[in-house]
This record gives sequence, structure tokens and C-alpha cells, in this order.
Amino acid sequence: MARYLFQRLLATAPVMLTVLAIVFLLLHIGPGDPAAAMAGDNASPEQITQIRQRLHLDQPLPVQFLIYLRQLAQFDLGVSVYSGRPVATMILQRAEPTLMLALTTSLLSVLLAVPAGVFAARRLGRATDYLVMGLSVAGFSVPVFVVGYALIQLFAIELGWLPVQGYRPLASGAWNTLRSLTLPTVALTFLFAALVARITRATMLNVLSEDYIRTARAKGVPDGRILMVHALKNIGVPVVTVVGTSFAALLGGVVVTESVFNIPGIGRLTVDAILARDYPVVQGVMLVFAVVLVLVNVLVDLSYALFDPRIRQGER
Amino acid sequence: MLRAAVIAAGLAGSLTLAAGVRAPAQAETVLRIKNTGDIKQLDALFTSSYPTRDMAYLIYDTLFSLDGNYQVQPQMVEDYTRSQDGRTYTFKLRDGLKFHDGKPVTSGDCIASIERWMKKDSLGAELEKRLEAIKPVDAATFEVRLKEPFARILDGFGRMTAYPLFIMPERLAKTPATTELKEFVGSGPFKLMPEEWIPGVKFVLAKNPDYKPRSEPPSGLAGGKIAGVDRIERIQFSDDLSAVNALLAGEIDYVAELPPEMLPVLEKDKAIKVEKAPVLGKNLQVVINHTQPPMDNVRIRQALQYAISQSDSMQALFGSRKDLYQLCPALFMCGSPYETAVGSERFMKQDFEKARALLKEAGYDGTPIVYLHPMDLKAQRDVGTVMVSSMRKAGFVVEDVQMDTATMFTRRASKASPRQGGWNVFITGFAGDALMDPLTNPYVTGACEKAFIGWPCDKPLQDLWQAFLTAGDEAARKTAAIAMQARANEIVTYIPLGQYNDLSAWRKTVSGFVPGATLTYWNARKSD
Repeated sequence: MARYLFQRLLATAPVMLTVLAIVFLLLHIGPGDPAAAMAGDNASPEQITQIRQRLHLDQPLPVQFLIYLRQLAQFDLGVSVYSGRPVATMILQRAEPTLMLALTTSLLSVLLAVPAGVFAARRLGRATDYLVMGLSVAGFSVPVFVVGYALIQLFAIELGWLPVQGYRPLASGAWNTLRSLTLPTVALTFLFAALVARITRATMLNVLSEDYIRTARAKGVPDGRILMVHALKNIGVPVVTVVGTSFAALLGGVVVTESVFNIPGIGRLTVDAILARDYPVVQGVMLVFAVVLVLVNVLVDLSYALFDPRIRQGER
Repeated sequence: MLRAAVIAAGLAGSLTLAAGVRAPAQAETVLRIKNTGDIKQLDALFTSSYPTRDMAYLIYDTLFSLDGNYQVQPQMVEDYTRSQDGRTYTFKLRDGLKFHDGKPVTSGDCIASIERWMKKDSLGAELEKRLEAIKPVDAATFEVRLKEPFARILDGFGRMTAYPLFIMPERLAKTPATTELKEFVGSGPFKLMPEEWIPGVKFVLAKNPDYKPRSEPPSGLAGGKIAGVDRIERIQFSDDLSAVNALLAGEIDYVAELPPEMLPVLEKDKAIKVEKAPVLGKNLQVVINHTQPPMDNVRIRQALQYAISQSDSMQALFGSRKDLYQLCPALFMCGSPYETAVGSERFMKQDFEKARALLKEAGYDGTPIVYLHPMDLKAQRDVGTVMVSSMRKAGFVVEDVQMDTATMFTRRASKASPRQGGWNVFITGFAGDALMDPLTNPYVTGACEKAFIGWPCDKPLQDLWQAFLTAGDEAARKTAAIAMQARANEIVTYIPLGQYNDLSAWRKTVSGFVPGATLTYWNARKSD
């Protein structure tokens, strides 16, 4: 197990380096100049040149990349071109809203979608199956900003039950945090629950057609027991895979949802940094996101052993 | 029973967790505003960003300030004298001025701040050229000795430019103008809460209890600055509709720039007031690259004047709401001291026939005009689309290069040929406070390489700029300003596309905004 974990983590090193190189190249060969944007409209060419020198943007690209790698080797993600603040601090400031939103959305999606998917599979071809799948299609099809604005209009503006916008950190009290996350969580859950429900239903249908389920039925095992004991555990691997990758995607930031609900998360930080060509921030966010993605994938892989004894056997 | 217990336990848990919330002090009033742009930096000499400058006006005080009639009035200065020969000025500070760190404002602080400012501001640089000495007389008095009389010294100390003269402690003002400040200590009516300032999220100011306002009523940026609220929170939104929703729900109090399409939603709500922003206004401008063919030909630039339509441009922005804009012939803004219509005939009446005639006369051979068209700025995107269409109707061949703003910022700085990464024409916007003064209007220097992007190069215009700078009285300045406009329109340094005010919306619980060149919040009040 430890060896497997070590090997997986070691394998991430080249992935990280590739991500770094690609992000660095894409940013620097693309159009746009942070020095000009930073200096503003009234800046003279000399002032822009000074800023460019200060940011090492006057150096050849390989030199700039080496400077960046040297920084990283010292566990330094650099500082924002604009605010001069450490990138690591900026990411940490934006991490809590994103992490909390990812957690609440994933949790609510699983709580709603897994039973709904199982139920739909169990009631295959009946009205309830069509209802669940209809909702699932709607969840996929309706843009999240439409759902978001509709929720805001009803629950925040008309009824006044929940805040329109903003994120209240955990330090302000868990109740405040939950209130501020309720509407964005519900809006995102429409999308993610739809995905999980469809996967759950499809997987469950496969499992229910397996020989061992038929055998259990032939032996007179009650339907409920077949479903809960024999079938449910066997849909774990694909469902956990989908939930894991969805969670990782949520951690990468959900820009539209963050904009609609004015949540200061990673997504907005990334987009703002890209639009302003704030190279260190974009590079830092991408690096952290790549690390998170790899870690979530490793955790998902490890979780397979919980659901499938064959994987546990294989490890031994 | 069990259910009730669970609910009770949940509520108790929530209350316990919520107890960690910092309860606002009783009667603490917080003005929450949504303004355009983000505050990423706060050194107003390090960036010419208007959002930074406008927030800096709340933190820092100035020696002089522009009043509501755009006249310079003493602000931190109690009194000043000018010697008979016009070469020596003595300034005495008001009693009781204190920085946010508790230390008194001294003449040494003012001198260091002036020295830093002179390195950056254009009028500051003119002052530095004429400066013989600047020295303290006592803790609250300092003297400026000039090599020659220079009447614009007070304008320099008080005018509203991209780089205003903000007074800060000497220890900070000694920082070279090329090095960004990391600490922001002023003596203005509000002080920065640095730990609550998160770029892209929130910028927070708190009332400075030690501030001693002037006794005069507020007028523009001058007069008594009275902090009417305990805190100002400038909240960053990336979506206009979210800001409007927050205003409707009472989560914020003021939206500075409102897209006109949001009007119907807000006008229905009786708790909200929608008005033109109480500032001078702004306009969009056609910027022309004077260094590259075919726009290096004055006849072709004049053809462009005939091609544009202020009316069409403003309608692209505001639709049928004619009350929100005005067609303005003045390069120095309508409603400003130097308003004049001289030389505006070509761009105030669109005439494709005359444009075509001028193009023919100039021998225009159909070389494509490379037009930089940012698609992520609504005004530039929409007006640009109208503009490109008009140019084509007038006989120009236009290459409409669509891009994002950051790319445009880079490309417009290029003096290369339009076929090799350069450009011919683009639209940008400056606020009225910059355009209204011939010394801060970036388009009328004619200063070639040192001019604003577009680099118009014209000796008569340079001479007129100097004449305005050194004019001894207001009548002479007015004469020079009229001549500058006439010359700038003749050589077509830029073309204004109409003057407008942003729509602002605020909850009726908020009052006290002072009209002026730009919006400040120091007299704003908020009731329950």
C-alpha cells in the first residue's frame, strides 16, 4: 500500500513539470503584456520598460522559466505582478470558499443522486424512472447561471431567506457559511447530481443484470436486500470515480457560479489573473490545481479497494 | 420528542458557532459600494489607475483641491503667500493635521511628498524644472523658491490628475517614485484596513476619528470632508447583474456604473434611486496612430472625422435614453471651464460624401485600416462595431481585429507597421477629469515620442501647450485652450465620440454624495 502510494506520488513529478512548462509557455507566447496593463493608460514607454525589467519580462523565455523553477525549488510561488502579494497567500485566501463549495456540492449531489439513480434503475421504464432521467437531462441542459439567477430571484430577493451574494468564512460562524453557500450549492448540484444520477442508474442496471443477482433472486432473497447488500456495493467504483473527478473539477473553480453568486473563489482568481496576464498567479493556481487533481485521483484509486475485494487481493 | 431534541441541539450548535462572528459595534454604519475596476495597488504614483486614485483620495489629503467649479482651493494648507516677484511661495499647514499612525503632519512630510510627486507628474516635472529650492520654515510651514514665476504651482498641488499630489509621512515619501509603496499611511478622512483588503474581493476603509475637516461646506474635492459613515467597503463584483441583485436585496448601498439594460429592474423599486453619476462625465475617443500610413496623412484623418457619428455611438451605448448622454464638440469636455466648439465641424455632422472626397483627395489606395477592437469591454465593443460600419460606408477598408483588452494594451503600444503587429485606429475612454484640463488631456501635447499613444507630433501644438502652461491669468489660459482645440482638431489628434455620465443607483437610505470631477464618498451618509 505504502509502496503503491509512493509510486503514484513519484509519478506525479513529470506530470507537474509538464504542466508547469505548458502553462508557462502558453502564457508567455500568448499576446498581452502585464507591464503595459499594470502601468495604465498614462504610463510612458520608459515606465513600462522599468516594470518589465523588474518582473524579468525583458529576459529570454528559458531564463524566465529557470528563474521560476528556482523560485519553486524554494517553495516560493512568487508574487502577483499587480498587488505584489505572495501567490501562495492569494490562493489560500481564495481556497476556503472553493473548498467549501466543492464539499457541499459533492455531498448534496451524492445524497440526492445516488438514491435517485438506484431508484430509477429499480423502476426501469416506469414513470419514476422517466422523471429522474428527465430531471437529470434538465440538470445537464439548463445553464448553471439560469438556475442561479432563478434561485436568487426567488429565495433571496422575493422571499429574502438567503443572501444574494458573497461568501461568509467559517470564522464568521458555520451557520453564516452554510447560509451563504446554500444557493450556489443548490445551483451546482443540479448539474453534478444529474451526472452522478445517470452514472448510478446505468451502473446499477448493469449490476442488476449480473448472474449473481439472478442467483440471489432465484434463491428468494428479498429485493430490498439484493439492492442494498449485493448490488449497491458493486456500483461503488464507477460512482466514486465520477464523484472524485467532479470534486476535483469543483476545486479547480466554477467561474460562472462564483460570478453569479459573487463568491471569491479560485475560479475568479484564475480568470482575473488570466485577463490581466498576472503570470505568477496563473502559474501558481495551475500548479496547485494539478497537484490537487493528482491527489484526488490517487485517493479515488485507493478508495477502490474499499468497494472491490479483488483490488485488495491484488494489492497483497 | 427525539426530533425536537435534534432540532434544539442543531440550533444550539449553530448559535455556538455563530458566536464567533464579530458583532458590529452599535450604530456602526457601513457603506457598501460597487465601483468599476479593482484596487490591486494603492501607490497612486505607481499606477495611473483611476480606481486606485479615487480610493487614495479618501486615505490621503492634499495641499489644495479642486472645488465643484474646478477651481483650486486650499485643503491642508491654512494660508499661503506669494512674493511680489512671483518666485517665492510660503505655505502654512492647518493646525491639528495628523497621519493615521498618530504622528502630526509636518512641513518635512509635505516637502518629501512633493519631491516624490515631481518625479512622476507632468506638471510636477514642469515645477521641478523651475524649482530653485524647497525648504521647511518651521514644523508647519514650508517655502518654495522658483527660478522664474510659475502660476501653475497651485494647480499642480491641487489638481486632479492621474498622479495627484498626496501627502504622506516623510519616511514613506522618501521611497523612490520608481519603487512601489508597501505601506499606505495618509491623513485623510478614512484609513485603510490593510488586513481586510483582498484584491479582487474587497477593499475596506474605516473612519479616521482624528481627521479635522475644513469648516467650509464640501464642494467637489474641496471643503469640509466629513466621514459620514464608519466604514466603506468596496466590494468587487465580476457580474453586473449580481451587483444589481445585491442592491435590490440591500446587501450593498451603491452601484457606481450601471448598464442601461438594468434600468427597468431598478426603476420599479421605490427604495432605490437611479441617477446619472454626480460627476463631470466621460467620453470615448477615437485614437489614431499618426506614425503609420495611411493615417499619417492628415486628409485621411480628417476623412475619419466626417465618417464618425457621435449620435450613433451614443445610441449604441444607451439606446433611446437620450437623457444619458450629450453630443459634445469640446475636446476639454462640455461643462468644463475650457469648453468650446471651435474646429469641431467635421466630426459633429457625419458626412460620407465629404469623407469620400477627402479620401480621394488624399489618394487613399484602399490600404486596410487596422482597427483594434476589444470585445471584453462593452462600450468599446459596441461603439467599435458602429464605428467600423461607418468607416466602411465612408470608403475606408477596415481590418477589424477583435481581441481582449490585455492584448490591445500590448498591441497599441507598438509603433510597428500595422501589417507587422502595429495598428491604425482604436477606441478608448478617459474620464472627464483628465480631459477637461489641457495639461492633463493626453491628446493635446503634440509631443511626438513623448505624446500619448498615437504619438501626434506637432510643433504648433507643443507651443500652445507651453503657452497654456505659462499663461499668467485665466483669460490667457482660455485663449490658449481654444487655440489648442482648434489646432488639435485641424491635425486630428483624436476624435471624441460623445459625452456621457454613467448611471448610478443607490438605496435611498444613502445620501450626501458631492458632485464634482469624480465621486468621493467622504460626505456620504447612511440611515437605517
